[in-house]
Amino acid sequence: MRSLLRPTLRRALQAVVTVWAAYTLTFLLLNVLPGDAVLARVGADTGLDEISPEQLEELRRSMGLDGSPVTQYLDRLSALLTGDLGDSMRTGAPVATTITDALPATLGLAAAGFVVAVVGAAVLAVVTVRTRSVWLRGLLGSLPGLGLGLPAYIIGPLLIMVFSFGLRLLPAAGSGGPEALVLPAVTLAVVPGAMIAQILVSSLEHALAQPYATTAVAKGAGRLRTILVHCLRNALPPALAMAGVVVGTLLAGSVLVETIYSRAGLGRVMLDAVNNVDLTVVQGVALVGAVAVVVANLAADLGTRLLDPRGRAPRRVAPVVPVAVGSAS
Amino acid sequence: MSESILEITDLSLSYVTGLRARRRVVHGVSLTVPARSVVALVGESGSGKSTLAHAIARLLPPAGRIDGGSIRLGGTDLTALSESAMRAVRGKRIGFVPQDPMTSLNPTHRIGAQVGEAISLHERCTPEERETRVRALLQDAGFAPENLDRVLAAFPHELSGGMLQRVLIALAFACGPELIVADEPTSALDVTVATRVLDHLQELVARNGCSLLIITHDLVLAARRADRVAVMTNGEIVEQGPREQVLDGPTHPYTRALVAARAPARVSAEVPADAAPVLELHDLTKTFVARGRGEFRAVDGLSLTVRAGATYGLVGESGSGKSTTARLALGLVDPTAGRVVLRGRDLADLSRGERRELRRHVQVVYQNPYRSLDPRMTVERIVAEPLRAFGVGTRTEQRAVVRDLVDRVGLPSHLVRSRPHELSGGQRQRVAIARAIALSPELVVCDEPVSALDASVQRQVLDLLVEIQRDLGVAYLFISHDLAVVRHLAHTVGVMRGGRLVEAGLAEQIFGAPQHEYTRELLAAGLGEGDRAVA
Amino acid sequence: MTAVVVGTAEVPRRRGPALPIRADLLVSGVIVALFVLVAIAPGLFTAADPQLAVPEEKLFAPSAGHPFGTDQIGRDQFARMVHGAGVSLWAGLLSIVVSLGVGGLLGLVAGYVGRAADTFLMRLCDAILAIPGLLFALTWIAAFGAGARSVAVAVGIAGVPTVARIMRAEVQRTRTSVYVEAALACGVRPAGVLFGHVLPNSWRPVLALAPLEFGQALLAMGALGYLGFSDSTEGPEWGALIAQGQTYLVVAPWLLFIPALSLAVVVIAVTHLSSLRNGRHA
Repeated sequence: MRSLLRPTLRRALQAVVTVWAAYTLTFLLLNVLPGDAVLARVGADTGLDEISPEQLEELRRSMGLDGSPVTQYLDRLSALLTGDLGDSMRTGAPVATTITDALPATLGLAAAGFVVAVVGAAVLAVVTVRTRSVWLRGLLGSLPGLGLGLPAYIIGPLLIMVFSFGLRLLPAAGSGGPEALVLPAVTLAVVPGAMIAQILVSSLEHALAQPYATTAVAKGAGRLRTILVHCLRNALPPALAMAGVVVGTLLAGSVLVETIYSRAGLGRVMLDAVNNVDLTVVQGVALVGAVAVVVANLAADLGTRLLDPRGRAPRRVAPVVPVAVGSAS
Repeated sequence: MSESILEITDLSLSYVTGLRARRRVVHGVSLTVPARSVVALVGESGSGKSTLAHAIARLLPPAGRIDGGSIRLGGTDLTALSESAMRAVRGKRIGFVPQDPMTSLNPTHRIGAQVGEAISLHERCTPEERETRVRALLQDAGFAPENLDRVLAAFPHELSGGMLQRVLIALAFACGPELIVADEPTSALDVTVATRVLDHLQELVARNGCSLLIITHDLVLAARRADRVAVMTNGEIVEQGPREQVLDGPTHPYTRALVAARAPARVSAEVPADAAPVLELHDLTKTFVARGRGEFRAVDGLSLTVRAGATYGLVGESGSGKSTTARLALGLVDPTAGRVVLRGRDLADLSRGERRELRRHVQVVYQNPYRSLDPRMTVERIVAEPLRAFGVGTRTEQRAVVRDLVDRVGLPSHLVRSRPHELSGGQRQRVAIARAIALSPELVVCDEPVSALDASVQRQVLDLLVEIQRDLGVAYLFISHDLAVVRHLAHTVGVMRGGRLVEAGLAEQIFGAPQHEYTRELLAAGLGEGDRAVA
Repeated sequence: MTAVVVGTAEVPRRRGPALPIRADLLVSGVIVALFVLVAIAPGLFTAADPQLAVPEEKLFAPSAGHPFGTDQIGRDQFARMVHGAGVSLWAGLLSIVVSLGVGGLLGLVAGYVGRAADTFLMRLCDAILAIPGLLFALTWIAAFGAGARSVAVAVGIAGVPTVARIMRAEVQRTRTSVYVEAALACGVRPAGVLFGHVLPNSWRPVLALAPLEFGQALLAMGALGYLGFSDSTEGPEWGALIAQGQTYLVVAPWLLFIPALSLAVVVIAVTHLSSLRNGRHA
């Protein structure tokens, strides 16, 4: 176990660097490249000709946007280290508070979507790979591809049409109660689930084609047992490698789903911010997204190492146990 | 004759390749394995022998189909059984030993658990009973009792190839089957290891009183160990019978060709001992440093001389450092210590441009014909590449030279326009040789040039190399693990082990009167078995 | 290096017998071709003006005169979709040009030059990848404004890391392959190796990404259109049409159903084409 510590620490350090790089990227995009943020911000609210140069300057100073980009950057960065994400350019409220207020709702939705996606994908993948029937395998195997073409804004409204207005089973909007979570969670789960299913099917089939799977069957194991006991564990690493992408898709999807189903959460915060050119809020949400993705990748990396006994003991443990009796080597 | 344990009658197998398309791999094959005997099924790659072996235990992939015929195991027709009935046969009545030990065990399960599974899938017993049986099986397979604890708890990657193959053998014997089917069980092992493993397998078979069907490409192995031999090619069994009958007096032309390919080598022409040295290695050392794993000395104080027009055969098993030596000789990698002197010039003294110039005189033929040719280039472009690199002649002239070369290496001229994937392994290697002699070099480094080829093709390529040496006077540094191959054309032989030269001298000396113990071991194993090893 | 025993893989490594691959491919191909045609030459398919609002004819169901019905201010939905297809197509193309061009170049440099350049470029890609795609696009929009072109570039940049990674992997694979070493041993100069061996063997898998990336781009733009960010003078983007359709779901479900299904079908067809191409070469 000890040998896991060093690579994990190294990855954690890389993760921090990545988050920093992402932050710098957003800073460049929002504050440096497009030019005068203040003008853009003001222009969104009121007419530009209604503000005098002195008032502009005052506004600039109050938002901390005076001074060179470098000083702005360093100030912001040091503030970030204390958890200060700045203040909303529109309301003045601390961005961190706005985000933490909206976060639980979004996290709940994302978590529900995650569970549905993983369970659905796993079941579909195992069933697809298990069957020996050629046409069934073809049919089931094409389902993930279909799923990838059904993003939230396509399948969501369609589901609403069928289940809310057609069958009147589930609510079409709102944030309250478990029934209101069903359609949004399913809507959210389709694309990530399809991604996971696709990669699981491919890596399970790859594992089944490996010699050790043949050995298992030669011992007398049935197909399902071979898949579940032998292949699944070996097939997980490629799926785990997608963890970051999946989490990213879930978060982005949540923004959409919250809009589709009129739910409160980070989605509304982000969209409002974009429409109002409220740069600090936009930056804050993007950063939160980046942190989530990076953490997911880190966890997946650790998981992959734990799964593989080769990762746990990279050194060839005192090789070649000397064997006697007609001598093996 | 006693009753047979396995009787295959008129079996045909195919693979489904499209909605309506099938590819027949085995045509109406009949094979008998008597009780308590060893039968060798011999064939080259692509003959269908492996498919046949897998079909016996119904281990074919989903695309595989049994088109007709029957497989009777001691009276039961296996082809008529349902899948669940077949599951009861696999492991219990038929034990299967697969080919590649490094990938045939689950990397995430411990050895003890995997062997135990072979038992628990068929028989009910308590965990203690199972462990006792597992220990007994492993001990029978050749593991010392004091090491059993470690082996049981180990993961596959912690054991060597030979040990893993023994585990696989133990697995096959777990439930006392009537028949063991071994698919090329030692092809992936070093020659010396392979011998011991096979000895053990034979012993176990005799002790258990079951039968063994061993699939192999190696006629010599069959000759040594089998009671009966069957020869397979192109999906058909062309000859079958007691060992002496098939091997000493073959009737079918294919069998005859196979036996002839193993005939004693012809020695190449004599070379004057005072011919100028083309390549000299002085006290060559190469150390690799791996992160977190410390140093590894691939080559340790190696010295040898290759003379003009002669062949130096460098022999060693995997990990002996011979491939690294090849790359050092070519100047593709720099030594940690020692000197590489080509045509009298020390490589270390040369600038990059001068080194490149030197490549006119030193070329290389690699082991893997599938990887050493650019898959996107035509044969013509490949062979012309050295000419182009050094600006030799106009395009038209180059094309004429290429045609000459292609002809010289025995390839039909229309192949100039083909791409590597359209050619067989032997043909590709000829292309590689044509490329190597394009600039009429003084030295060609051959890094296991025939190891990846079928036995019958090997002979042809070696003959070609000898011919070229005779005609062009080119010297070879010929690297191989296979002594029988080296014998074909080496004037001087060096035996490598662990990065060092343990013995070196004239070919007759090494083969006739080997001094070092390791050389003797290699000779005994190598010239007898000739199994392919891992480079 | 383990010895490769020629041809012991007697078992053909196929993914299982093929379905009527031809039929699949044909259907997908037809759908994509139709989409492209509609996008390039909307005039061929409809004479109606997508902007023309006829309030008396609002929210009509599909009929002879209006094959897809009319929207809430009486505009012909069919015309709107036909003209909107063009927006999706051009924006999608712009997007993959950015992804493949920038990504391919980054990957080539990272894979071939290696070391510091590699580390820097890969960290840059990590940074882009870390921000979830939609959020990245929204950030870009906040910075540079909305509109189809801006959205297209944003989506293109979000796709750069994937392309760069693949290109880098391919370049590294070919750079270390035996035939490259053989070429060097033959005496070929490094430049000759790069252009003669490395590039020709590396770019194919990257190009094979194009249909996939195009499909992804269409979807991403649909999302941003749904959220209201892709106004364009050529026509309403299909995502925006879907959003509009959802508003009038109760009274005119076809306004939602038709654009939603059409977009899904086109994306699935495009993606299907790309995966089949990989399957054949695998």
